Amino acid sequence: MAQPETVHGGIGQSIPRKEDARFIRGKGNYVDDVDLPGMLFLDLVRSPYAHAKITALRKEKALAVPGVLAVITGADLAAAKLAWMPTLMSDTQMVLPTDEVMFQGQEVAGVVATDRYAAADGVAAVEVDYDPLPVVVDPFKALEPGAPVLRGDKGKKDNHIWHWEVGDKAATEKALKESAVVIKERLYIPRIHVSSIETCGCVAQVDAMGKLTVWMTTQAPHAIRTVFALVSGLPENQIRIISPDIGGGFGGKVPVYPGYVIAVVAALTTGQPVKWVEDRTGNLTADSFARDYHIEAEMGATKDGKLTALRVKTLADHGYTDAAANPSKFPAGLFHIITGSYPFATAFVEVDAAYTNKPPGGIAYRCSFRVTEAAYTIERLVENMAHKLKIDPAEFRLKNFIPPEAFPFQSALGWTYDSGNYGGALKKAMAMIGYDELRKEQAEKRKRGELMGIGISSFTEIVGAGPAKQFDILGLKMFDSAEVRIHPTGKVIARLGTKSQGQGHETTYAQILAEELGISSDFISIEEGDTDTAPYGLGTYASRSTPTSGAAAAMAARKIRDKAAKIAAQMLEVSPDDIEWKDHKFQVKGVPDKSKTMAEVAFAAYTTPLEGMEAGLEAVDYYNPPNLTFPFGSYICAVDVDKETGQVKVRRFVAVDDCGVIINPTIVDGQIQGGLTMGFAPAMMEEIPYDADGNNRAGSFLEYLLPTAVETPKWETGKTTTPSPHHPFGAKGVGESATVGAPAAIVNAVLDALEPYGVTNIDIPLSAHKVWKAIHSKDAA
Amino acid sequence: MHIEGDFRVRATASRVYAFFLDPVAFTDCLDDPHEFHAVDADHFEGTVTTGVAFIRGTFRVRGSYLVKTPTSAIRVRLQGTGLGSGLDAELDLALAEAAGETSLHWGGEVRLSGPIAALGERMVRGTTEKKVAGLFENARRKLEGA
Repeated sequence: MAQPETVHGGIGQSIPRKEDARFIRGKGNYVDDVDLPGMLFLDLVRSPYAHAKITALRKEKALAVPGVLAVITGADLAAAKLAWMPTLMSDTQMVLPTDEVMFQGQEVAGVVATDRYAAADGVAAVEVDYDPLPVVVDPFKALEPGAPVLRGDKGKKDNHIWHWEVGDKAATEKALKESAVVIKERLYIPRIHVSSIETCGCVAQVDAMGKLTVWMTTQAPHAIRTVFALVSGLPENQIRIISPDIGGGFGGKVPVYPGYVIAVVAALTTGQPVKWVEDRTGNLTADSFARDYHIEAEMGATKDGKLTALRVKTLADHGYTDAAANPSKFPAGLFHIITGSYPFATAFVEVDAAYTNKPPGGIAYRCSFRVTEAAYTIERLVENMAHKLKIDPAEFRLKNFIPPEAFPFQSALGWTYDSGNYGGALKKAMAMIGYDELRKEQAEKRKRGELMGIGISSFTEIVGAGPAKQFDILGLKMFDSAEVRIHPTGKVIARLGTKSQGQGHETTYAQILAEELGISSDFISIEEGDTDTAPYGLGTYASRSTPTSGAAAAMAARKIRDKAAKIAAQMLEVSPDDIEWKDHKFQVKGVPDKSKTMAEVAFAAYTTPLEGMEAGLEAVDYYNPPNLTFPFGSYICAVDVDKETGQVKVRRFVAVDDCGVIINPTIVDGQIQGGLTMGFAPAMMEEIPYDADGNNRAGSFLEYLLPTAVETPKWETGKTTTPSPHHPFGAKGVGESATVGAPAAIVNAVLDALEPYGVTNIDIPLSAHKVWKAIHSKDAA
Repeated sequence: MHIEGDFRVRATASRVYAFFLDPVAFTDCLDDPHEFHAVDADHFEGTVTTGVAFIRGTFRVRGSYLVKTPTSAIRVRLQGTGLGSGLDAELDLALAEAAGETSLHWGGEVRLSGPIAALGERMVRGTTEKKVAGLFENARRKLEGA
């Protein structure tokens, strides 16, 4: 049988990333590379206090600094009704304060100058008098009676933001009571920061026709344009948002930050382009944070090790405003994926959110809306339950997984999982790491008093938001789009509603289109991020680009194929019914040597269009996914723990991922390796702590610890492939899986090493001191 | 951060009391470059260029006398901002005269906020204690030298 012809750069091929040709030569075009004639620079005065009244703000000395042209204050913005703006969760946040600051590092005033140095000098010369107010740092204390009410402006009488719950409370209560074994654990997942290489920034310009163009670091340019239009009152056609190359987003570049708005106001008032690029400390102290979930979870099981019920109560610290980028209907994101890879008969989850004197929290840091918190919780508890029942954690999982034949599977908390083979992934990971041998080695080491641990995490992700009936942000439905045009010579340009921040969209989308159109990916150009040219879309975050825009690209290509088939039939002088798309070309059924390539058809579409048919060959698709996709994976980690110092060394880490059909294996492997490092980081190093006065104790990379190549373990990756049945070509999305799955595997491994001491939890990050303390406090006991 | 200390000076309590109620006189005892002036009898303000190690900048400071008990007690509040950081301190000075000397016990709470506060208490505490001790030592010299 003849093998089907492949197209160069089609699906499944590890071609080099097209965009890397410019990145590795230093030819990327980032916001800070935008240089316009007459451009001014914005710098920001920030609050040193976590909570204080502003009793006076004097700009005279700043205006006297050579080069300083303007100082923009909250009072100036209030006069234009711009001192406040909506958050993506329909809360409100200050652009600039008029009388009170709510967190340390908050923007207090903007200084506009002819160069960056003058702007910085101007910032130092702005005089602000503060009267410190009581600070609320602990979200539990924030909810106590008598706590200072932070959002009196909203008519609030306390600091409670919202309560959200899902599941069957009564049935879960009953099931837990009837369970032979119940475990309970309190987990804290601390505040962390996305720390992308490029901080946030923008360049705002108003042209002679009054049109506003903003080059900005945003993951969602179209939605931002709409928000700008709604907030400013400018007609949406007079606003153009351009996201140039972006140096990492990870969710942190979805929100609208005050600096963007102040830069726009500065451009409108001065009539000159204005650039704002925040420094690292501004980025780490004022931009939105992730996590900060205080979780109390209970899990039930039968005596012989079958899981019965799950109950989770969580307090979310949202800082002074709820600026999460969650879909409107889900204030706690998709946290209710928390039943994970297991068929609980019943579950109940409730989340309360509180205001504190911290910057806005709640963004999805490479975790598709609170999925890391969910996966961490379920995988930590499953491991603890296995230990409690004295069943090997791998065996325990294999006994409890949702079986492959149960898909599509309806979870106890309402999700319909599309496909999965959890046992297949775990068995592959066990084989790769040599699980049985490791357990034997561990037993021998324990006899010698050495601490070695093996941890597993068999997570289920939920990505690809999402079906329009359930998913919107500020009312904008979460479809996504692609517009594909084939030029007369058979070359392609495609524009999409998403925006790459390093994921490799220019290659991935080109490969999808190459496969669908039979045209080499070398001849397919991809454009994103310009609202004047790209079709409307909700952007790139939550691993949604391939499930949504990738699907839209495939669907648009298929629309083109439908039209092209008619042209091919005419060219081949047969009925359209006799044409089939095979081996990446149009063939007469049963006569493979009578065929036309897409390039030949494209030329005809422009030169000899059919009567009654429009010329050209292009299509647009707005893809509304019928369901989310559910990638999954099994990770196994082996660690050695130094009993005397508490130092943890990750000796082996095997990651088997299943993201459905893989478009480019090299890109996917890169996503997974990067994601694993970003999962290792919060497990072992990253945290933004605050002192009692609300001081951010990690305002630079001296204190906010990121893993370098020295600390990062060697990752061993593998894959299984379980296609999504509803996605046009079976892909699921992978950008966040590894970040979601890795932390639990590492922590489980450390706690497995510490099992002789009866330690069931250490809150992340697992510093050597915490681990040492856990060992020695149990020693003392 | 709590700081406190003692010093003795060969001067009467009334002289020491008057000295510390003169903001220009006592801020002149700062080793760091400074410029202060009285706003009224209970308030003063000015700037001081200071910092920890090579991290230096100019702080704008406002001072208020909260307690003035002649010849025995003074409480002063200092509030300032600089280097993107904040300072909020309340210092108590207790004076007692004996045998031609005045002993002075000083102590209080210093709250730092912003990036300076993130430097680590040991570093900040050491620097703060050194600077305050230097201020009182300079005050002693002035009071005894006059």
